[in-house]
Amino acid sequence: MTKILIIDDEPDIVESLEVMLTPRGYHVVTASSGGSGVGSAASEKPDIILLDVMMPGMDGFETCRRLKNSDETKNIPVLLLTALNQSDDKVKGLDAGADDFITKPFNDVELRARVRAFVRTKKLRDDLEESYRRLKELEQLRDSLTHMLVHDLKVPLTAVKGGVETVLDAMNKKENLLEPHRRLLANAKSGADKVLGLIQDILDASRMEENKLPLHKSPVDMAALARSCAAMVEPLRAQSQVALTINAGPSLPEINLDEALVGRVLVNLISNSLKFTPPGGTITVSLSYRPGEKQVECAVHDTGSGIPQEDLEKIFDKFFQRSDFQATRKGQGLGLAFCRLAVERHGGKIWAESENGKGSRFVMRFPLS
Amino acid sequence: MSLFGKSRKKILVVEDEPDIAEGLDARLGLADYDVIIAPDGKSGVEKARAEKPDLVVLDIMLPKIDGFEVCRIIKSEAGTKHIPVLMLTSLSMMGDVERAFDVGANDYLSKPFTNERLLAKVKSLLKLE
Repeated sequence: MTKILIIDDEPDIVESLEVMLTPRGYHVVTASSGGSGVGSAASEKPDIILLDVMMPGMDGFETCRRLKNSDETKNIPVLLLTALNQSDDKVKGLDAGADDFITKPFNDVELRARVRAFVRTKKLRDDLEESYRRLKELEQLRDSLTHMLVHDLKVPLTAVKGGVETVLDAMNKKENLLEPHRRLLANAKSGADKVLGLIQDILDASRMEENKLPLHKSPVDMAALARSCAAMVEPLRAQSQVALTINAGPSLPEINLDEALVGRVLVNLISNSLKFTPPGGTITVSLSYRPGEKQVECAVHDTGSGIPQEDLEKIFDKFFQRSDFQATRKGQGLGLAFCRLAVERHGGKIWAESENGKGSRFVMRFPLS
Repeated sequence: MSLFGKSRKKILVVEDEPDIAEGLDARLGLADYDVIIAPDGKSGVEKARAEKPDLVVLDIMLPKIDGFEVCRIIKSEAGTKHIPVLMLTSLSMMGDVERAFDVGANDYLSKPFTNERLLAKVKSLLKLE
């Protein structure tokens, strides 16, 4: 409903305006002085303001100036109520920032037409501001994407380039290839895998968002899947000096999933935990069946630094960067956003739990059918 | 000093990215240096004090204490101030080089770097000692 604020010290005029507007479905609020009108404009956020010029204390011109000087109210159209033939009032009013004026005695048809016109203009303006705000948001998102890509692609690519270069140098100089050369190539390969994985995540995340990624479902033994995921992250695990155990509950039913996709989710979760768990820590993958809900639960629990409460939900946002990592300019990647999209594609749920200093726990639940 | 001339030089690499640390370890190892890795700023400072390396190769973006602060600490303590520090900077961060010299770094290498440039800088800094 369109809300109109009338600022006028004369009760008769206020009443006659209310009579013209209220029955037509306008919501009318009133203020009897310039000062209280400025306050009501800020608190009521009307769509349009009808403002009397002649008022004791703060007159209409000053009231108008204040309304137009405040960020909260400057976009609300102000229609000045003036007496007929007072053209210097009109000039002064427009100079004070008023959008238009209407002369007394009021013609109710004209008044309502003016109100409609200004409400239309205001809506256009509000829409424009809203799309500008959204563009700004997108721009920021794009900036963080660029930032993330630059970092997350650069580090592994540096390893690829450095490793390949050094080995190539040695071969060009006909030197013998030694153990460090093998390590450099292994490092280069793992860097290349990371870059490819990231690109795959980006592609899949956008395809999943558009619902274009087909699921190839088959009955999956989650315990076996968890073991093969553990094998995939073994080099990273050994490097991080963190223990990884899999606890599979008894009578775990097979479940219809896209094995490759869910496998990538689990690898993502375990790698994430490896990243944030100091040497000597433990990561536990627990699998259990919840007969009540007919769901299979897969939880990844680590003894790492944990996640601040306020970030528990946000970490699943695309391009989100944990506030405590911004200082190190570390990218977080698309990992968790990808995980959520993939789990939800299966009709499942994923969330994070964390108790300060006690590590974090990522829980996925998949419906049996 | 060993019987066979000078002993192998010891280089402390302070770098939190395992890919980069592993690469530096292998590349410097091939050039016959002893390499010690510290994965964060805090352990970087501790290892500089305990191991007394001949050179510190120091990344800037580090967890806990950043590279500038690590360098400042190394250069402010009597036991470590003589150790040359080579800072690894990022090309996109122009101000980093100035800050590196401000906190006492002896030289810098901007990432990504070639093997030759890395080894050339390392060699010249080790002579400086």
